[in-house]
Amino acid sequence: MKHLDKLLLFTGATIAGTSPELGQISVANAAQNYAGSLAQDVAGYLAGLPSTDEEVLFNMLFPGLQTNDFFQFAKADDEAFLTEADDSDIRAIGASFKRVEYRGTTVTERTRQKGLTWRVDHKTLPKVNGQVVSGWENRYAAALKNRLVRADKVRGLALLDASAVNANKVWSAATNPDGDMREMVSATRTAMGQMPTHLVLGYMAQQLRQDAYEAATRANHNMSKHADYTMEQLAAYLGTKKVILEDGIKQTAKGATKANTTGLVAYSYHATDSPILDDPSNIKRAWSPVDGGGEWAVSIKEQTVFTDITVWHESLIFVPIVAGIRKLTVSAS
Amino acid sequence: MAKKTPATEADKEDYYDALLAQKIAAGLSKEDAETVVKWQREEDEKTSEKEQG
Repeated sequence: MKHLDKLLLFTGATIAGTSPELGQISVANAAQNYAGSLAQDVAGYLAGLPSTDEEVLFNMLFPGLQTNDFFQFAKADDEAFLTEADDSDIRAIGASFKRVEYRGTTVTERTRQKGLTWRVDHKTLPKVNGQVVSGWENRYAAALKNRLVRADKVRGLALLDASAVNANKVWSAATNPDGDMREMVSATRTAMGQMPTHLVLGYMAQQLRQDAYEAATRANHNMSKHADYTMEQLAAYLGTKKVILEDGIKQTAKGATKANTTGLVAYSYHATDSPILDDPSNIKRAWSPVDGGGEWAVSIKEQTVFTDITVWHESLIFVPIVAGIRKLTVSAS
Repeated sequence: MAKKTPATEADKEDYYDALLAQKIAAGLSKEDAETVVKWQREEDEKTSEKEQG
C-alpha cells in the first residue's frame, strides 16, 4: 500500500480530496468514489430501464432526435407546395426555364440542461444486518428521471398550446365532437400541406366527448357508438395516424390540487416518429448527449448521513413549423 | 384554456397583445408568435362572421 497513490496514477484513477495516507484503504471508500462523480452504473440502469407509460406518451408526443448542444436547422418557409398553375414551367422557344429556389431560414438553437437533485437520508434506507440494501440509488434515480420527463412533457404541451390556432367548440348531445375534430384535421392538412400524424385529446375533452355521444337526449342515436371508439378506431375515422389520449396529472406543490396536464382541449399537428433536423415536422425534441455519452446522466455525492443523487439531461422541444398546428377548446355549453 | 374573444375593438387589442406575450413566454420566437396571433385573429373573424349569419 506504500505506493498506492503512484499505482492509482498508472491506472488513471483519481481520488477526490487529499492523497491517500499510508495504511488507509481509500480506493473503495464510497465517499471518495462517489464524491460528486458520475455514476455510470446508475446511468446505465436508467438507460436500460423499460419506459414508463408517461415516458412512452412523452416520446410519442414529442419524438426525439440527437443533436449537439448547439445545433442549426432550416426553418421552413411557406414554399413546399408552390405550384406553377400559370404554365410558367413550360419553356417558350429560345427562352430559359423558369428558375426557382427554396429559401429556408437557418436558425441556431441550443439544448438546455435540466436536472434535479434528491437528498436521500441514510436513515430512510432499508438495511439488512446493519448494511444498506444495495441498488437503492437506482430506484431514486429512476424516480427523478420520471419527474424530469413529466416536467419536460408539461413544457412541451405549453409550447404546443402556444403554437396552435384555436377554435372554441361546444360538445353536447346536440353537437358532433368527431365532426369538429375532422374539421380540425382538415384545417391542419390545408395549412401544413400534409395530413396530421398526431391528434392529442385531453383527458377531460375525451370525457366530454363520451358524455356527448352517450347522452340519452341525442337525436341521432346511430352516432352513440362513437362513445365506444378506441383511440385506433377514432384515428381511422378522423384520418390521422394516431390519436393520443393525454391523461397525465401534474401537481405544482405538496398538498396542492392535482390538475390535468391537458384539459378540455384537442390538438392536431404533424410530427414524424424518427425525425431528423430538416424534416417537415411541426414539433421536435432535440436532445444532446450528457457526460457519459447517453441521454441521461447521474451523479452521486455521498456524505456521512445523507447522499445527494442528481439526474440530468439536455434537451429542447422546439417548433420548426408553426403552420398547421390547430387546437379545439371545448365546453359543455 | 383560450378565453372567448372580447367584443369591443379596444378590448380585442388588449386580448391579442396578451395572447402574443403568452406565446412568447411559452417559448415561441417573436416572429412565430406574431404569425400565430395573426392567424388566430383571422380564425376569430371567420367564426364571428359565421355566428352573425
